[in-house]
Amino acid sequence: MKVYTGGGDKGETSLFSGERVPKHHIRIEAYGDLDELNSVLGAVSAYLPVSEQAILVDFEGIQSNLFVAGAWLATTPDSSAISYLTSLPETVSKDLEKRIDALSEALPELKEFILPGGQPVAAWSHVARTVCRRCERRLTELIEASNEGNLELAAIQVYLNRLSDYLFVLARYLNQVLGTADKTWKK
Amino acid sequence: MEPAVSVFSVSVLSRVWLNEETFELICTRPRGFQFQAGQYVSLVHQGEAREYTILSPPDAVELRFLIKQVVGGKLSSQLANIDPGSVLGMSKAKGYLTFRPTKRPVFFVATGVGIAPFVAMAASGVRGFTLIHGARIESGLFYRQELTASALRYIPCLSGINVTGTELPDLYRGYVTEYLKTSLPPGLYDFYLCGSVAMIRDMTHLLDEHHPGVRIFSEAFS
Repeated sequence: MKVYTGGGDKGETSLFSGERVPKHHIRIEAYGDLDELNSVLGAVSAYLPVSEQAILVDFEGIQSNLFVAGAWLATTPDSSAISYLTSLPETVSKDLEKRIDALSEALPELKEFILPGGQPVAAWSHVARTVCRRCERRLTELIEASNEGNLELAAIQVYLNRLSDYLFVLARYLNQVLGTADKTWKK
Repeated sequence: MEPAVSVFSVSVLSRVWLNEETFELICTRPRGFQFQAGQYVSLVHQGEAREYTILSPPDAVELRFLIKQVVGGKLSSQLANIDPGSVLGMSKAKGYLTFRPTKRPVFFVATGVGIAPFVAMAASGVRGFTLIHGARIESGLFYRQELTASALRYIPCLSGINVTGTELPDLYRGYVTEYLKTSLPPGLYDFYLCGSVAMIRDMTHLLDEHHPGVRIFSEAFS
């Protein structure tokens, strides 16, 4: 089957639920940002030291979960296409909390703001964190604009919030294991 | 070595030619293989792989595929000559051109072998749709009788230059896009499109321009 059809050449595209919308539609913006986040996570993953197998496993799960989340954002809530979607696994946010706690154990307590950067892989993790925060902002905008009391979107919102925290801790952890200390903000 | 897409093995049972360049390939259904009407698989043979939509409904015992023998097409040429009993690799079912129940009027639009997903949907019990099938000549209107029986309305569109003698109920002489441009009243519809990239592109632009608010589900092939 063909990847391209040209159906979007005039600036409209189809949601998963079939509606034609402009490419700047709030749903497209929302799942487009998730796509960007997933791509940045791919970049982080590509830089991960091979010794960090547990993090690679985290990333595989996270990147798959973002596909699940993207499908929800691409589907209007009253559509029968909803029946094709799967829910995020119930424990995803709790699982991330456990991973945040595990990575944090290796880190000194944080008492000041730190500058994003350090090792390339850590710097990419900071970029991923900021894209993840933008995904959260888009999602809250979508929920507000579409007046959706959707439990799935609420679960995705929690997940993105936790994922942002995970990526922050991950950046610090990676700098630490690669021998680069946090750079604090000098006022 | 077979490409990695091959997850199942199927045996060729038979082949039925529908016209001089298009045939139906009938294969065994492997244990554990699940699919929805309208989905497709990759078939793999001797290192060549290509995607084909399953004609059969999801509860079928055998798997049927509608295949056009393409000039220079490596796999379609192999399959056009393959012996019964030969084994093919097959992927899991893929694709999202599956029927979504709706209160809106439903239009299925196909060109050529793009009719396959709609044959599967009709065989699985989908009813109440209008089907517009485009082909060059009458022998390209595959499964016309079965689909006429299932559809609310079946509209054949023949675009070949030598079809002036053809007489079919509701026949439109021209392309499917021309038919819809001149015949579809304003309204909110669900459209399912399957065919060439050019058809999908032209139909999508036509619907965007003249029928805002329609839903479009599509699958294009080369």
